[in-house]
Amino acid sequence: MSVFCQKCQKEAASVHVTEIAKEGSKVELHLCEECAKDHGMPVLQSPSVFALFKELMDKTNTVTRTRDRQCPQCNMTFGEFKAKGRFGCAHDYEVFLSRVIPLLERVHGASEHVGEGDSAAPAAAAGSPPPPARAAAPETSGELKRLRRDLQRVIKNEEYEEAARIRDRIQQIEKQLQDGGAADG
Amino acid sequence: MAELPRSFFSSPENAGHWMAHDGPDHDVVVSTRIRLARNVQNFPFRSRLSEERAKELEGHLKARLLGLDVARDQTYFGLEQLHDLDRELLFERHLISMELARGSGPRGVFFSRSRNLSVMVNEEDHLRLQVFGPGQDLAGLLEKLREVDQRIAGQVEYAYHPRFGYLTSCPTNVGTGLRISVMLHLPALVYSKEIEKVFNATAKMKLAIRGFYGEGTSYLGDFFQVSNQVTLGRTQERLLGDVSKVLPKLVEQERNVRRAILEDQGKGLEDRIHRAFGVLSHARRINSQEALDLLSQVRLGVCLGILQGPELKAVNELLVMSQPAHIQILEKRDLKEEERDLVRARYIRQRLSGPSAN
Repeated sequence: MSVFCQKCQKEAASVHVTEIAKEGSKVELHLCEECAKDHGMPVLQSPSVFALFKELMDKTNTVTRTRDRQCPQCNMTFGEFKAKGRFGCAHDYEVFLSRVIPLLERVHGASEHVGEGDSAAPAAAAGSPPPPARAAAPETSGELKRLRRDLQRVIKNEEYEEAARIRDRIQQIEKQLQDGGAADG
Repeated sequence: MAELPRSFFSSPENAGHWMAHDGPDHDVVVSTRIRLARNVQNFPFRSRLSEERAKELEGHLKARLLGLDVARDQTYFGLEQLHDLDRELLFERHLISMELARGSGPRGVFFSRSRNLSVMVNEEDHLRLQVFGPGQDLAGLLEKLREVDQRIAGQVEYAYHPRFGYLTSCPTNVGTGLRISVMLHLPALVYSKEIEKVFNATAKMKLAIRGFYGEGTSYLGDFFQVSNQVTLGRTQERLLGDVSKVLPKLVEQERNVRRAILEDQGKGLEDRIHRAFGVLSHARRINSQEALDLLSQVRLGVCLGILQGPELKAVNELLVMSQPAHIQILEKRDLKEEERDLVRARYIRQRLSGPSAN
């Protein structure tokens, strides 16, 4: 594999492409970023997930401090929580959100509270009835929305293992929706 | 030093009022306890609460709880100010947990005897509200508890998250913070070793089976607490339904096995029950574990009509009164273990040969 860009022969090749021609023959190209653009390489364009995941990948080599993340309020780390089984303050649920969600899923089989009329809930939420679960589609799209939100949050927190897990789940649901839509149509 | 109203605790009439001795399923369903776990906003959870802030929070909550005026007989006891014996007494009555009784730091309990209500302060969570009742009136108890919860919420800002609900120190309680525990007497299922199957079946239904004193305790005298395992993702009503749905099945299973044992080895069972009664009626020394085991058999004997003498109410009372701290308040002094065993044996003898037993 060539180290330099096959086109300009100056820059290091960072984009590696395998083009398959109509006849079935393969052409390998090793280009620098500039030349790759000129060559008309498609830009990753799927809106949310891929852009977010690219952002995430760009950061991977700079950060590995997920495990040492600390709650700014009570100094709890997730490691300490795992050892003791008790959180230090209410903020921990938000600070360790990306790990709390799978934990709750494991323990409760759910990660969202269902509580109409909770005395402590904000007035608007307390009075409104729970959303009716009619068809599968609105539920799925609700889950997608939630997953995308979660993904943004874990990327912000630089928790990549969790991000990858959520990304896979999103792709799985998107595929299901597409397949389902095609079958119905 | 604050004093518990010991005369209340030493009176057997008060001991069994939260246990069922009549009603449709009293032969199996003993009592129900429902609790809610709550924390106060802007205070760290218990594991990160400094002595100073724990004290501040206790004072804050004590004033608000007493200000609720839930009942004329409401009282509050700071655990640090109580004698060891009084703490054990509250624990044996299930009014406080083992963690609160034997823990340390500023903590307390608010309770109303007439309303069978207790609120623990600075336990694993800042607040643990609980109500008790005989039998299985789950909905009625939940209603009572909710009312208290709402009144406290009017005074105190709870830690609440839009997605996770009520936040708790341990994530196993998050969401509703609700735990419904029903105490069952299952001697036949234990004897026939079918209890294992019950454990497996209830685990599949997301229900937990715990020991006599609740979480983390082993079972004693064939008494078990069945409770909901999950607290998140289901409404309070749904959780209530999950537990109440399984109760008739457990009652039915226990009764079927009781009948089967009676048919299979009638005289053998009768013999065991009469022997248990005999030991309790005549022993000169008995420890609390043996007393509980024998009282369990006597309870079964009374429910099956094998024993005509003692009333179920008296047996229930003895189950409470024969515990170590209760034995000591009967004597009005601290007793060594050997002394307790003598006093316990004497007390049980007297109660079983009293006017309620022939």
